Amino acid sequence: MTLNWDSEFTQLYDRCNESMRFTAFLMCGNWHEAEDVLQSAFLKLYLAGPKLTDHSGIEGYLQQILVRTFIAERRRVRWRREKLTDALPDSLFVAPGAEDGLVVWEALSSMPARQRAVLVLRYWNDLSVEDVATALGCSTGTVKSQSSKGLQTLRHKLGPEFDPSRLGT
Amino acid sequence: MDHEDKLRTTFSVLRGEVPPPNANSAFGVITRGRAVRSRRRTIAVAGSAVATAGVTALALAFLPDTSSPPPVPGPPLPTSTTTTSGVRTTPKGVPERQDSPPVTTTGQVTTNTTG
Repeated sequence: MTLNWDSEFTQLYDRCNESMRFTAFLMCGNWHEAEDVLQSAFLKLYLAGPKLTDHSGIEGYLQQILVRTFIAERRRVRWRREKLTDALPDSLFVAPGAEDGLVVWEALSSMPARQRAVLVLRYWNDLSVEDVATALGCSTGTVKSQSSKGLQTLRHKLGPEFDPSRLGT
Repeated sequence: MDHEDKLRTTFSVLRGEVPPPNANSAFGVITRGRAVRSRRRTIAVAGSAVATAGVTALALAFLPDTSSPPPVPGPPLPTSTTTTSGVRTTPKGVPERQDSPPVTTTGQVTTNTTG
């Protein structure tokens, strides 16, 4: 049983690692935190795996663990307030036309964790409102309101003069 | 809807960026998972041992002392003496006949003597 689960877990890790890593990066805003959150999520899945009766929807379950781990981590970080580090923040958008993307990225970074998670799941992972609600453990009404607030924040930060066509590289 | 497109475009541009190399692997997660399981098992065994010892200590401290001598049976009671009075077989108010059967009493027979 353990050996079967180990091999199944290895296959799942190889299959999902890249996409989940990028989703974690979009939510966290930096690669270091994304790595930590992703590893915690994979570890939780590995420990819970033998207890699961049905492994058919395991990728969705992993996504759910990832989002909840991210929100829990953000809640803990809020209590820690500040964290001293000697590492410089990740540099983004080295491609031409990077400034506009940076503006969107900064607007996204300033949002609360839940709003940010909703926007990433809705507009990157293309999940339905119901699936996002399941992943976040909240009602569909909350997802809709968080999504609306997130877009409103984005609209407020970007302003009317922002040109989305300049983002393409 | 325009801002949703902006978001999607931004995410797509970010996806095109080359991410830093991934230092983690499935083997690392499995190793950590086994260590966590082992630690949890150790904590569970130690915790149950401590709980058992605690309950035993509390029981020894608070339960009554059982090392006292066993109770001695008391002295035998004196035998009881029963006294019974005679029971009339004829109801009250009925005149007693001469040839009436003798009055029987419990454990005692009396004979009616005339003369």
